[in-house]
Amino acid sequence: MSEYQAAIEQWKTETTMTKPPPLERIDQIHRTGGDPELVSTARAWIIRASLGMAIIGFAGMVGFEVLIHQRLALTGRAMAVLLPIGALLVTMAWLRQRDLAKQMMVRALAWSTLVIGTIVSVFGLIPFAWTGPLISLGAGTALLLMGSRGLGLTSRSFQPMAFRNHLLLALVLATADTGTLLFGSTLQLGMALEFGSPGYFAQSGATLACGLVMAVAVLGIYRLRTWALVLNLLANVGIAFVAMSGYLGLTIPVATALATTATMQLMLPVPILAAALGDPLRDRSPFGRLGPPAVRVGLALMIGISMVGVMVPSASMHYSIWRQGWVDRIHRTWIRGVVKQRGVPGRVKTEVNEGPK
Amino acid sequence: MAEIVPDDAAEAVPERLRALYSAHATAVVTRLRRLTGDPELARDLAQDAFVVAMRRLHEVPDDPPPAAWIHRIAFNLLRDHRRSRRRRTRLLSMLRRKTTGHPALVGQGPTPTPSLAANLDAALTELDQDKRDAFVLRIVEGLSLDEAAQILGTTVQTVSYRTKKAEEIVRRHFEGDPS
Repeated sequence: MSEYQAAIEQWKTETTMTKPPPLERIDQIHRTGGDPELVSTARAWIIRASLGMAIIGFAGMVGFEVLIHQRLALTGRAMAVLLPIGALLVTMAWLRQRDLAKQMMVRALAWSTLVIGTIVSVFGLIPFAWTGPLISLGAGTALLLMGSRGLGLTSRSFQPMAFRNHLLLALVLATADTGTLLFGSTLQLGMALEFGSPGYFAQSGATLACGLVMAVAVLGIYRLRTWALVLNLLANVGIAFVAMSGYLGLTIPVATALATTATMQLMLPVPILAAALGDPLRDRSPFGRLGPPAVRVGLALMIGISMVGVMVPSASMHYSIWRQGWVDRIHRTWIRGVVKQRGVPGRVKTEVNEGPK
Repeated sequence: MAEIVPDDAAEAVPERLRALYSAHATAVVTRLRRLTGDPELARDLAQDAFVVAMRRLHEVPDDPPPAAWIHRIAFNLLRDHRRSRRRRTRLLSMLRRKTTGHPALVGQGPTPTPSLAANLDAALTELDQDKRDAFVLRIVEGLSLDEAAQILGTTVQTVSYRTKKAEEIVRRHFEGDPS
């Protein structure tokens, strides 16, 4: 027997001498609520505090609304922020639930909040934009602290043979997009109620419809249906198109942000579809090793953009080319997209923003 | 808020877990010891694996056998642990490298000749985690390529490649090849 083989045999014998932990200790940990698959109780409270920071950020928007308009009405921004505040409360409650769907939802809602916070910081109107960094920092820190704990849980509906991480990421991003679209829709609905404008009602309906299509895709992917992957692809293409063409009534920066996330999601199912079509490199995902660090870098980047972005100068309460808010003014939307389709003569004009008239 | 609340009225340790523990605890802790190279960490992870198993007792399958199920839970926990501790370990090992070579701290006494097993332990530290996992499962535990690939969540080809590379490195360590 060579020295190498003898070493293996000796090592085999030595390593079997490690004693297993006593069963009583396991039982004791179980009884005190310890769960290695979820974030610890202490960490959960820190995450809740971070999410609380984001809630304060959203509440700040209502505060500014009251300060500026000297009244509190459940329309406009005040109505729209109720949705993310409710979502964050749900997130807090589900943090330590042993359910994969809830764990994914927790991530998705936090991601959606982070996206909203970043957009508000960078493109929101002053002074509302000042609440953005608080929202992003709260949601981003919560996501960093959550890590991947809880995503390893099993579920009867979600038991993929391969590409589990890909599918999880696709699910989280698609759900986050749904949340962002629903936020936009509620904002438009609030404005429709405030100004009594049918245009905003129509736009709110269109944004809501996009959000619902995405929600159907999410449900399908969770049940591992092939049609859902295709629907997700089509929905992303569709959302990128309708957002950029102005049908959703979102400002150009917000539409661009939505189109960017939609394009990013388009890349996710590619390896899965390639494997389904018989690619010999199946399972060798290009994202496999880069995944967790890339997510952390992305999170830090978004928090950073939010912090720095809020400092982009803008005349207070005035529309600027950069700071256009979330919802587009009705006539501008028509210039960008719908007018052309309805046959109004003339080319689509390049917009020059000259401030409110 | 719906936290997980322990049920004090529940019976001591369910019979099913007791059976699972007595049949597989030693195998689980041994495999973890081999994969991590650290007996204490192996015990901690094995403990966590059985806590998870206790929470998921209703999921214990008959096919595949419970052994594969509990080993899979343990391996997933190991993977989580590696992910969350990677950066911290890197920092610690850097500090350790800086301190262990200091004569004032470690002295200059004669070092005893390491046993073959200790030598193999040292050789295994030269492998990255993926290669170590493949080496332990294939060479030490004698699992088939399919079984190892299933546990590691990768393809048979990948496991075969990693095992081959790991074996080369370990053999070179024993044969004293300077390259």
